[in-house]
Amino acid sequence: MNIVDIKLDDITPYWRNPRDNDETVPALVKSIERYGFRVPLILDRQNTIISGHTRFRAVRELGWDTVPCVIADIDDKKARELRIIDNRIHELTEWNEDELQKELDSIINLSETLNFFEGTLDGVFGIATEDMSMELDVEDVADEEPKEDVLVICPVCMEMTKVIPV
Amino acid sequence: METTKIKISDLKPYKGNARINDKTVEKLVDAYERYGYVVPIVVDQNNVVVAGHARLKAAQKLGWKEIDCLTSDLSDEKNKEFRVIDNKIQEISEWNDELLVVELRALDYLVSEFDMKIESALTTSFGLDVSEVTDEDIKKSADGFDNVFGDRVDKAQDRIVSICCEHCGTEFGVEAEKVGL
Repeated sequence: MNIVDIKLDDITPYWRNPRDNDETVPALVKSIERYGFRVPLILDRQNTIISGHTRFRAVRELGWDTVPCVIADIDDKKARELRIIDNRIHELTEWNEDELQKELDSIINLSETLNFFEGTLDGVFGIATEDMSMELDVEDVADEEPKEDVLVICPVCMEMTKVIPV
Repeated sequence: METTKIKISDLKPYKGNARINDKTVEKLVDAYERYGYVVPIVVDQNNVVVAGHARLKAAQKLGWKEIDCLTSDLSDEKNKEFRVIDNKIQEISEWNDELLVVELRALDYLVSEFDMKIESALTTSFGLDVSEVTDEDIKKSADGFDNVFGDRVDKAQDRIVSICCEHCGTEFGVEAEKVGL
C-alpha cells in the first residue's frame, strides 16, 4: 500500500458528498492536535476524495500544505459506490456500552481529555450538549456585499461565492 | 507516513475493544472483494490494534496472511483515548438525505447491474425497502429507480441547485432551501 503526501490544493472534495460534517470538523481538529493524523485520506484516480472529507477540512483548518493519501485503484463508478458504502459500513458497528464504560473509567485523565476538546465532544458521551452549530453567519459577510446576495463557502477554494444557479 | 506489512497472526485485537462489529465484518469482506483494501489498520508498537478491528477480522475471513498496517507512536494511554474518541467523532457526522438519494440514484449499477449484495447493503440499511420490487421491475423501466425511492428522489432533485464558484470556477451543489432559492 502506497501512501503519498498530496497538496491540499490538488485534492478535490466530492461536491455531492452526502455527509453533513460541519460539527465533526472542530472535534477532529482537536483530535489531530492530540493524537496526530492516523488514517490517510482515500482518493480516486483524479484526486477526488472518496473517504476523508472531514479529515480534509480539519487539516485545512490546521493550515497543512499536504496530507497523507492512498489512491484507490478503482474506476469512477466503484469510487462513487465506495464513497457511500464506506460510511455505511462503519455505521453497522455498535457499541458494547458496558465495555465502553469500563474503557472510559480506565482512562486516567478523562476530564482533562474532554477539556482539551473544548466542548467539541459535548453530547458525544452523553454529556450536556451545546449548540455546536458552525452555520455560516451570512449577515456579517453581507455587510460588505449587496444585501440581496446570499453567500456560501466554495468547498474547493473555501472562498465566499454568490449563489447564482448554473 | 508509511505502512508495513504485518502477519495477520502477529496482530492482536485490543482486549477492551468496546465495538460490536459482526455485521460490519460481513460487509467489509464484500467490499474488499469489490473495491480492494484501502484503509490500513492502525496498531501500537506491540501490534495491538488501535483502529481497524473489523478490518482485521475481514482479512482473517478472506484468509489473508499479512496486511498493511500503520504503527502508532502514541503512548498506551493516548492510544486508549484515541480508540474511543476516534470512533465517537465519526458518529457526529450525519447523512445528508437529499444528497444521498441523488447520489444513490446516479449509481447506475443499482438499475442496470443490480448487484444484490451491495444493493441490499444500501437499500435495506437506509430503510429504503425494496423487498417487494423485483430485479425485473427495476430493469424494465428507465424510471425504475424513481419507483423504488418514490418521492424522496423528486424531493431531492428539487432541493439541490448547482452553483459555480466565482473564484475557482468549481461547480458544486447547495440545498436550495438553505440559500433561499
